[in-house]
Amino acid sequence: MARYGMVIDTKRCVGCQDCVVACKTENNVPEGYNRDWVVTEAHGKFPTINMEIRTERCNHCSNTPCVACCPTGASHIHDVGGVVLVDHDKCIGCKACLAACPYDARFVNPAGYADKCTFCIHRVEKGEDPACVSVCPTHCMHFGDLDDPNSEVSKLLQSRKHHTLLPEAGTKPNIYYLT
Amino acid sequence: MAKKLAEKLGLGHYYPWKNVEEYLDTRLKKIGYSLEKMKKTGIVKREKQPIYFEDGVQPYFWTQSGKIEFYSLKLREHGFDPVPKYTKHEEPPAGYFRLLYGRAPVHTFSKTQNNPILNDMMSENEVWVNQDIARRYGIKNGQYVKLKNTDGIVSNKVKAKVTERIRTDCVYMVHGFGHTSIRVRNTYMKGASDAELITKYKMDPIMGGTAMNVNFVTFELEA
Repeated sequence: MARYGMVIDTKRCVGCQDCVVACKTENNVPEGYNRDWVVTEAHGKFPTINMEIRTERCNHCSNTPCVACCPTGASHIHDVGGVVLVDHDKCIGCKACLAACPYDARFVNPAGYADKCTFCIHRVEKGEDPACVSVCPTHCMHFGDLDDPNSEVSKLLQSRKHHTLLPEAGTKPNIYYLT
Repeated sequence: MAKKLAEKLGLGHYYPWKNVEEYLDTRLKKIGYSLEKMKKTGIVKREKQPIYFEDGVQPYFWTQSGKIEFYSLKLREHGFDPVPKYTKHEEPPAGYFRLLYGRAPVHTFSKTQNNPILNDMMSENEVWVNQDIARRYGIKNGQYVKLKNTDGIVSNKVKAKVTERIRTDCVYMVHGFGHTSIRVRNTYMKGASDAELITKYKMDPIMGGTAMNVNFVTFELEA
């Protein structure tokens, strides 16, 4: 089975937040909420500074605390690509998943259900890239099947140093950051 | 309209064509096309031509030697030093910091701050202050401060961003905020305007370029 994931090149990202705008308009994300966001981290003392800019979102983990804790089965793993989704009709807005997610990737949509990144599955199932990936002006984002050793994302992971977010949480995230 | 305005301003000689059609026709003829043809086809598709050095174009420089000139004959002809010498810039007076300004990728100049989506992502600007300086002035990250320049102009309140990403002798802010028109409701009086603090500028004596990062500001802490 395919395992969809993203590989994001932090050396190319300039933090323009085009991905955020693309997501908001593609998915009609309500004002004041975001399914993805940009983090800028700086370490060191001027002038020797190390910086990393990252676009973050739901990591579509392989070991999912949000699905495990869901009392109604609304949070589930989709048949296609192991993408983590929320069934809006089953969700009762109890926020257990918000508390369980170590990445703070979820929010309660004013309409009453837990909302988050879907990897734009409605686009992916048509063979398109997620909205954020498709608009990135520096082409720092790559989407594909991590289980296919010949996919672009797998090849990037073989050739470059990379890390995931909070690996100690044991969630096995499927978004990798190239450094 | 631009032509009429130019004539009123005594700049009519920059507009030698009769009307906009003639102007467009002149420009199209330069690429071997014409306005008449363009009106029929509406679009021209041409062969892509390499434009960058990487594309294998032999670079050409518009100098007398056709090369990059470290010693400029043209500058000498006009009575300037052919090898311009470094002149030290003015340093800020004690307790003042050079005000730098720049852009954020989210916003375009000062015209997009009221856009709901873009405003949602960045609704106000921040003044970047080096960590050591912030400690000395007792400024905390996220605290609102005002800036005062050497001419006594005081800005709107602006959030301080305490960071190691700036030098100790400068402060920085993103341009385009501090709108004073109440009609731009989302962004009205959010953040500070760098433009109002730029009361001085310097001009390059040779090519007339203006430098605006030459103003010095200090902090006015709210009581």
